[in-house]
Amino acid sequence: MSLRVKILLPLLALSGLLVVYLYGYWMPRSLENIERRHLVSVERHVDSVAEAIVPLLLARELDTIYENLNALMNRNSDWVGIQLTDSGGRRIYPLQAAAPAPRGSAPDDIHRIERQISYLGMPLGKLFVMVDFGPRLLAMRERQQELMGILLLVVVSYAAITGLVLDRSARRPINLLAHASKRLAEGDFSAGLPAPGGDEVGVLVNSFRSMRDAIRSYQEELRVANSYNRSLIEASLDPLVTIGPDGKITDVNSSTEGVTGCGRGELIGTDFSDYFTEPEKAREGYRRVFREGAVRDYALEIRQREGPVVPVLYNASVYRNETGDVIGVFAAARDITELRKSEGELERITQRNEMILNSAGEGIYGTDVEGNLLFINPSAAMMLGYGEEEVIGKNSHLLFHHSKADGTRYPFDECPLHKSLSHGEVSRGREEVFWTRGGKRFDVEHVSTPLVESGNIVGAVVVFRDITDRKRMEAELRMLNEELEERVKERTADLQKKSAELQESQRVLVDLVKDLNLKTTELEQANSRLKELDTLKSMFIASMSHELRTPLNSIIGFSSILLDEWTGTVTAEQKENLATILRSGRHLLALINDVIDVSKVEAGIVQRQVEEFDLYVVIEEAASTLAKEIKDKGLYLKVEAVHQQMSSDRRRLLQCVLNLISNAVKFTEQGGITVVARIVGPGGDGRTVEISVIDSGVGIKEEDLSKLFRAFSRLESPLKTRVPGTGLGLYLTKKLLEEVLEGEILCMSGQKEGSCFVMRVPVRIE
Amino acid sequence: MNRVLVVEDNKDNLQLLTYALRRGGYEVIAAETGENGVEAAIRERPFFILMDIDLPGIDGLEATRRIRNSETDGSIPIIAITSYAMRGDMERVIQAGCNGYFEKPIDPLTIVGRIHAVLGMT
Repeated sequence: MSLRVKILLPLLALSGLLVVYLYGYWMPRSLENIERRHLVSVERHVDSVAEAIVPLLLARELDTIYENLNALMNRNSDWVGIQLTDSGGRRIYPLQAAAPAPRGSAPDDIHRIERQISYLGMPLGKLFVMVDFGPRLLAMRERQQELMGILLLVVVSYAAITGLVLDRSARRPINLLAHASKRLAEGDFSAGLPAPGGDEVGVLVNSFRSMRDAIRSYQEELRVANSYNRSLIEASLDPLVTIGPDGKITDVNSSTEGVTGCGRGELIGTDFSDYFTEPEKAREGYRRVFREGAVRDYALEIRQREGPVVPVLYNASVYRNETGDVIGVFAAARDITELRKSEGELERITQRNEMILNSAGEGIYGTDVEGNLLFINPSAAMMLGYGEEEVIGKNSHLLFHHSKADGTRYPFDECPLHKSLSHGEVSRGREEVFWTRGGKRFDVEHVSTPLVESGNIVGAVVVFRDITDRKRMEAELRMLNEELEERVKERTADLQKKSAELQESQRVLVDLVKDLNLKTTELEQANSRLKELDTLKSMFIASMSHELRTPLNSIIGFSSILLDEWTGTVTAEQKENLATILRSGRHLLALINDVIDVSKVEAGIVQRQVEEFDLYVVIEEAASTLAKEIKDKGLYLKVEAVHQQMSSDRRRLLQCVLNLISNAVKFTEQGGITVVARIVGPGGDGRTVEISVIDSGVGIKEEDLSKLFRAFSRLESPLKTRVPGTGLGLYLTKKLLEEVLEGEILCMSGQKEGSCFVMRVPVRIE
Repeated sequence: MNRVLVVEDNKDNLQLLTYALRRGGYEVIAAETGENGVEAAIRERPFFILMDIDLPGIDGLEATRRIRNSETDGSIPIIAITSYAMRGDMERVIQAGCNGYFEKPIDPLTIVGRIHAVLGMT
């Protein structure tokens, strides 16, 4: 319950009580009193009226009675009725029935007053008066209520003002103070404080302020001390932990976080023993600290969240509060992983050294700076004929290096092994001898190495081996080598001789090659000359085509117009001569053309002119060209040709057909020539044209068939003398067919049966 | 109508052609170089022209082209005469503007008939 409520509640209760008292008690009583006093005064009035009426009744002055009573009624508004009866009960006033009581008034408020009117004991009549107290009482009540309202207002105002004053001067400062305390508890020193007045609250505020300042400076000191402590803890590279009596971790440093792999927040509040491979041993550890106050080098293994187990040694002690009670354990761990590792390493190295010493075939021993034996390995002891233990501490030089190979004494300071001790040099050699216990000597090869510690020579290690046998073998080997060298020299001389011979042969070969190169060059020159000649040939052919033919054209042309008598008549004899010129000219032209064609074909410079044409037309053209000649010779010509569209070299094909027909004409004296052109083809695919020229001429001997298509070969023929020809016709035809038209030609003939030449060419060539 | 032009540098050939053409009823105008041939063609407007291709100076093809370029109305038939070495040059000859071509040697007995065949005259 707030202070405000506490103060206001009694005030409000008092007000309530006051209201109850005023309404419940004081007001009704007061009204009652007023009513009673009023009634007494009204009765007194009625009494005086009754007194006054007596004489009037006695005198029977009814008019006056009437007037007076009416005047009474009019004067007193609260008098609601007057009734006057005579002694006989007869009504004297009012004359009419009495008017009903006015509405609005409670019946209780209507008072009836009855008075006996008598004179000297003699009843004269009765007077009734009805008076209404209602309006009067109502007015009174209103006035009283007004009064009470004012009173109540005063009381409530007082309560409110009291509350307000209290709130301002006490509650709010107290609340602010409470808020500041709360903030202080949370560590905030800056919360605002109420302005201190001169009252008790002011005193409270001032003492709070000084308390707060004190706490603040104390806390600052604490913080400095704490951070110093924390720095101390964190500065340690070793994991540090504090443990409460319950075994829970209360603080850690960052090194602990590192070694456990857990964060500080995770670690604090958890069991210390949880972080070790042996939790029970860890628990026993800190229990011992609590029991005995401290432990030293307590070995444990920290279990890392990830990674290997970390072996550690713990130093721990208890720490106490001001009163000296133990409140925890302070434990510092030392990571001994590296230590463990180097310990193991050392042990391994020692073992390994031991093993090396034991298993080495060489003798190994160590001495101090005086040459006294510190250790010796089994091999060395065996070679020298001593037990390992018995020689330790004895002087090595005196024991087995006392004499030189020739038996004379060997002073220690001359000994090369001694140099290692005196000068710190590594000494090695093969010239020393050692003596066995039994007095036998053996050659040794040795290496003596000084032992140096911190810059001082503290001894030497000597490794040696018995090389007696080896020295003997080396001597033998040397002898053998000398022999071998001699033989090598002989062989070398021999080889040199052979080499000289070989060089000679090589020189001859080189000459041969040079010669060959020369020949090759000559050949190349010859070759290029040949090429030149070839070019010359082509040029010759080109000029032949023009220069030889132009005059021939004139010879042929002019002789033909002369023969045709364009320039005048010629005699029969002249005609014959002109015909000879013409024939010879034509023959020469044909010869030249054939020679040119052959040369071109052979040189591979014939250019193919592919065009579209009808086979039939070509055959017809060939036939018509020679028709006159055939007719003149009295032969028949039969042509059976099909229409076939071809894509080939038309002119060359025409030339071939002409050649064959013209050949046939030459060798046929009677009968005729048949030309057949049709479509055949391998498997009848219609892609090959076959042109046959069949004559009924002299035919060809079987043995001559193979010579037919050779250049300049003219067969023995009964007609030879009479048949002009170049000897190139069939050769050229064959060449053209094969190289230009991509076809073939063959001949079927028998003597006296005529000949049949067959050409086959593809319908289409590229 | 009966005047024809022969452009030919070889006198013998020219003579032969002249014989043949006169016998066929034509009057022959001769030119021995391409340039003269072009001039004569433009000046005389012959019925047709026989044009040797191998000519000194501009050759027959060039002469033909010039004649064709000079023409405004219908064209004069030009028949080329080619040497044997020029076989297969038909395309070039036709492209230059010739209407036909004969290969040497020229047979004087048949030449006129062949000319008429080329010109479509029966």
